Amino acid sequence: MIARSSSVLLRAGELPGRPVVTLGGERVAEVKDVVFDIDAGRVEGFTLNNPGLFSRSRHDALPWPAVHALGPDAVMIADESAFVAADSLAPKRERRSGNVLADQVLTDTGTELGTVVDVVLEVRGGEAEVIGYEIVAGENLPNAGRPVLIPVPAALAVSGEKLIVPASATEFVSDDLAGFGAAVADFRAKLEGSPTR
Amino acid sequence: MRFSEAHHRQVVATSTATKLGRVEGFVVAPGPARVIALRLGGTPGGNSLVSYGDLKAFGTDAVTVHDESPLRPPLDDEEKRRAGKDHDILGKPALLETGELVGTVEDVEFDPADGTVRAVVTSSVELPGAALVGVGSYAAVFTAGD
Repeated sequence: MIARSSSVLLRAGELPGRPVVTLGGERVAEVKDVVFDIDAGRVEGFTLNNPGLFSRSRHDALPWPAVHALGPDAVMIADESAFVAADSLAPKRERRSGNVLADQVLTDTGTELGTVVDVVLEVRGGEAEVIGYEIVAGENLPNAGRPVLIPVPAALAVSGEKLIVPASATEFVSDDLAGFGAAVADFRAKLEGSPTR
Repeated sequence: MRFSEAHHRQVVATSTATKLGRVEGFVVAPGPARVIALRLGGTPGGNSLVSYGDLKAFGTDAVTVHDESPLRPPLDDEEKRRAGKDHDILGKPALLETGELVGTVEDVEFDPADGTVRAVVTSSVELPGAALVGVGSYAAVFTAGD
């Protein structure tokens, strides 16, 4: 992946349908689904559809290390040699972006926070890390019924259909992506015991 | 000189002083960015490609060749693909290698002496010819640069 010092935050739900384009200027596929390694908290790769309106699933997939760049308008690859067989993209525990929609977020002190509707990724320095979730806030949060962003630690705990976050995450809930990067940084600094900004 | 000016320019054989056709399209390749062939229209016999190196001159009023012998069909499937109308750089989305769309290619500035692409003019920014990485049926791809 080309080196970028700046980081980009995006919702994984924006990615299905994004064109996969070679450096030679050919659109060879579209993103179908984002495959996560939930334990590692990062993107493993993408499953693919053929491009176009009546797109069909392909039997190959794009592993994250073969991604040249993930941009707002295209996922760039060097050429089609980037693709692998779809079943070789098999991290130890996987969540597809479709499945994530069913998960509940629970604090480690046993409070239900809400239902996951999307996953927030940070793309920086060649990595696509899960840094938070967009949830529909449950009754235990101030914005009940509204979508909010909640940060997650680098090491994520998953128990069945429930994602477990430290209770302190509730102090860093955000309304939108603009301030969320800073909220995640502050949250993780607090977890490590270092002073927040 | 720009593609927009040179489009439809007549192509003339100097040995016979006859018009062979007109410029319909420019086949652009990267590494280094240059026009490698012209696609002609209105040619007798249907052979529509001329390699840029086979031109005598690309002038402001006419493109000249010695005679019609350089007119040819595509050499292979690869060239047929690259020289097709759907690969024309004009009108293509201009995509950076970072996956960001910066505009649509509206014109190309080239050196008529050898076909070198000096700059690609998009709807938002002008990109140096050296930034061109690839021209395909979907987009023209450029390095992001600094």
